[in-house]
Amino acid sequence: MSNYIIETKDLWMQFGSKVALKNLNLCIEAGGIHSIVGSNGAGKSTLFKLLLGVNTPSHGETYILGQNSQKLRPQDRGYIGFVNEEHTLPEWMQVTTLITMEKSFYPKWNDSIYKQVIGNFNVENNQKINQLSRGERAGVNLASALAKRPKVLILDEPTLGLDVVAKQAFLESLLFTEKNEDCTIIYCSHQMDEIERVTDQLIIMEQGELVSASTPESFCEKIHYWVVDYLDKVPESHLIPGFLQQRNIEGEIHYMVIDQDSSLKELFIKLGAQSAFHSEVSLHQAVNGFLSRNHHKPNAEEKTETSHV
Amino acid sequence: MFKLFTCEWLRIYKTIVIATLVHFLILGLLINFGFFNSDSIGFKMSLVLFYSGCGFLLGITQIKKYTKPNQWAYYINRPISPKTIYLALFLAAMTAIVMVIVIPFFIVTLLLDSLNKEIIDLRHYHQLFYILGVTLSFYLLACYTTLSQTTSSFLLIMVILLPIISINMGGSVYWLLFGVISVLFIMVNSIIKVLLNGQPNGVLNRLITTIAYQYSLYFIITALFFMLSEVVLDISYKKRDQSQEQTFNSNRYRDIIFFNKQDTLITGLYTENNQHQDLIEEIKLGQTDRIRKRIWFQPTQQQLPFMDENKTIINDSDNQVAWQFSHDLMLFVGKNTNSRKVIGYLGPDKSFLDVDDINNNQVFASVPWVSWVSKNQIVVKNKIYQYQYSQQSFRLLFSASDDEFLLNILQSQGSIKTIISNKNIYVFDSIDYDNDIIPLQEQLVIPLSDDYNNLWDVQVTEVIDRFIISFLYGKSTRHDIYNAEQLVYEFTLSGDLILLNKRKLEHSPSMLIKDLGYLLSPVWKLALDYFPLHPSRDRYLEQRPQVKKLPQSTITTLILLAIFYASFSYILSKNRNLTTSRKLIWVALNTITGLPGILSFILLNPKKNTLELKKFHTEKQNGAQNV
Amino acid sequence: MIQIVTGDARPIFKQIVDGIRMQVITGKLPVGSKLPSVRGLSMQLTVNTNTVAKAYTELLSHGLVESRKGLGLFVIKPKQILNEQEREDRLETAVDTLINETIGLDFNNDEIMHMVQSKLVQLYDKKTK
Repeated sequence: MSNYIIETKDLWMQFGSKVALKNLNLCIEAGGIHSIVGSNGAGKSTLFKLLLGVNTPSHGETYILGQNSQKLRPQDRGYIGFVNEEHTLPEWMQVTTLITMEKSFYPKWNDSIYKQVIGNFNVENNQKINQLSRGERAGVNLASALAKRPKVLILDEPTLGLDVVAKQAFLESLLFTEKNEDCTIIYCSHQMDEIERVTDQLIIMEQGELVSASTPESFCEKIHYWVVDYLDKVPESHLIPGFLQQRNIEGEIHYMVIDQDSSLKELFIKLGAQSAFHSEVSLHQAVNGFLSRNHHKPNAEEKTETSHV
Repeated sequence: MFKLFTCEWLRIYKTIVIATLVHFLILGLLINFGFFNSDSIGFKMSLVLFYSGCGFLLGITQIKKYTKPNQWAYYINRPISPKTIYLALFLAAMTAIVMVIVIPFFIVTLLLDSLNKEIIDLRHYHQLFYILGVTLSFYLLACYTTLSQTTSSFLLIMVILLPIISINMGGSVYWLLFGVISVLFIMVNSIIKVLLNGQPNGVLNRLITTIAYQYSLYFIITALFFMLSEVVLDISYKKRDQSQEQTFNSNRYRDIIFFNKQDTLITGLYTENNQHQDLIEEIKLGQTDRIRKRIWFQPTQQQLPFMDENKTIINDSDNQVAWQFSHDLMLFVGKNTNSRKVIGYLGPDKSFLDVDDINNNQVFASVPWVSWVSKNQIVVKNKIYQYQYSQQSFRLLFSASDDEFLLNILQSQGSIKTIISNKNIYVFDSIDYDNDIIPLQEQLVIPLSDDYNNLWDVQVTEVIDRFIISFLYGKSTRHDIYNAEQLVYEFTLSGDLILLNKRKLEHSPSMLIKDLGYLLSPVWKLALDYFPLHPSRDRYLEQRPQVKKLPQSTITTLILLAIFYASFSYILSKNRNLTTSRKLIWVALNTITGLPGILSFILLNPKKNTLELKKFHTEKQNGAQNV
Repeated sequence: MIQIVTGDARPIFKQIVDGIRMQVITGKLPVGSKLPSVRGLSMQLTVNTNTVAKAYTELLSHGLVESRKGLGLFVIKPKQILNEQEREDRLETAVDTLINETIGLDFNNDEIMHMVQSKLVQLYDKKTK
């Protein structure tokens, strides 16, 4: 059993020869909004499938609401909400019929919550799901997910493809609708501006591994942006400690480094720079810089990155 | 659950309504062009297969829709058990089948009945259950194959074919169908879980699935082996020398069956010392005829209309009447060909105008078999009746004993007429028939020396003042009868019968085929022999294959095979994800379940992917970093 | 009205803190006025309530606001919480930032100083109004 609301222990998942999740040890405590960020193929969707018990891990275990995912009983599932990118719903049903069906499954359904959330979207009750726009479908999906008063709500890229108005309505509904105390929200997205607005904790996954779990601010603070002007030759990147990536922009080298302080300036000067200035980065830049670090290996002799987070 | 049923119903109801109307249309067209209630078994079976195909399609489309990853995630992320979800789908599918297939069929049958356009018996109504049952079975099979996502699950079609090929069982076919549907439903139910990996959970479910697979495999393997052996035998025969002059010497059953009638007869007379050479020369100058077996199975009362070989109709165009047999009344019902009005009823002895006048011993005791060839003879188990156009009634041509049944109508061979039954051949003088000395009295009874199922053919020829008749036995390997022989008799119309020659023929299923069933799977062979689940088409086969004593050589082979099966199972189990106890159970059982056991073991237990495992362990050792 | 921008180098809660401080300095939020409730401000800005809570906690620790039971947070005259060294460090950090941002723009020192002066004058004017 598990004390955390979501936990994975030594989780490995392999499809054929492709490893989707590697030695994942994740612990998420109850309450708050936790965002999971990672490039495509980082293993996020696989993780959710395992948490919900739709797949079996190649090795290790996953726990949700304290129960082993493989042993979830139907009544446990009554406390879990899942909103996926496509907002899959029985598309042939009318909205009202669908909601009546959902109500019958969940005795704790709160109709006022449903009405409140659906009111943020422009949904006509008599329409069939397949007649709704993407934003409206997202609204129905979110409204029914929240009306069930789940203890865990997992959202997998829910705002993808939503227009500006729908996106705003979605975020507002998510943030401000009445929820259970200790309701834990797992939000997965590529949109850093959304993440920045909603998240309490930032979890970064990369190629099936957990690489960071902290508040967004503390993550950003670790990463610095340096603009360096070299007199002569540009030094090899492996000489720079905490190197993440570099770009050559109009003669100056723009670096992103991690876990370094302002004393790095002296190193740059030693390496032949005539000026070096650093600044803070936004969350978007920090995550982007961090995740794209493997793409900028200038030479093959570069050892495995030793950056710790 | 009801809400889920409604949900699924809302998805399909539009298609259902259209399909129902289309079906009505099709049935209307069939009736219009006279195909409904047609004679042709091929057509009827095609109709059943068409419905089955629809059921199959329904299963595939329904399951594919619901088990798409996102759809499935939607349904199981609710406090509903997967079994409940499937139950809702199943009930919706059954309702759909009833609406689209059964109800139009029912209404059309009802219309034909009330409008008296056709003779509609009770059996025309209870065939609806049959249609429902078969379609539902195919639907369930489709669900299972789609859920298990293996091509090998298509083998299970053998389980459904069982009630289809056994429809001459009469009423008990419904129990069989119900059993098949229950087994398939249990199998589908056992693999519908949150994790759709096609592995049934629970010992009982695994057992039922294994039994279903092994049943299918047993039949397929046996059939394949048999076909293979036939091919091998044919090839081995072709290789041997065969010059034309030697033809008559041939003592190979498989050669003789291809001879023409005369040669077959002559071959029967071959002896080492050419004793009958003169007779043979005489025979060559004359004409040889065959005595044919024609009735493969006697029709039963209220049998499914699909089993009707042909319409039991006697057409009397002179009197403008058509007499059609009704199972409900067990009488022929006469209708005027112009007005289509009922004009009377015909029993074996007399005709009736009013159906109320008739009591039970004035109707036919069993359903008549009407011949294509002779338009007015009917066979009723052990009797032959002939319709008299002038009197518009039947007369009894011949009656065999009560424990016999006839295999054909009256046949003509030159100056004699013959009737063949399952036990005897009755010979009559043609003159009696021509002079209307009816009922016919036999001049001679020739008893069949072996099981009629083993009888391939009978040839008869007339030489001056006597007749020569030849019996060729050797057909029935499927009843574990492996002897082949040819007997030739000489007889006269005054009642003399002399055995001229008896030749044992070479009919060589090797020991391999002889006890093939036991070698492939001792326990299945025993089970299917001992519990006759699938009656043969010869319903009157008196002797069920007995659990016979096996020769010592077979027993030795069996023991060796048991050891082989056990070791092979053990080796296979190394590669598979099973607990030790389950491995041992499989190994132990496979000693007696044999080849079907091994194949089902392979199909039902997927291999561990060793490549994956190796890479997994290497990755683990390289040590990814832990946060 | 506080504005927050995603994609800014400063985390959102810092933007809120700075925004409120600006409002206090420019007089839009005079001393004694009540800050919007946590929920209210979150809804206004469409951010997580915990983020606003964090900002408010920081404002409390800076001594810019005080909590009155049952009523909310109110702007107060800032007490000097920081000691001399801390104030010096903060000033130096802020000036470093200014220099970093402007050094590449080819201004000379006088132009930069002029800008600083005029801004301070503007602020002072607003304060005294």
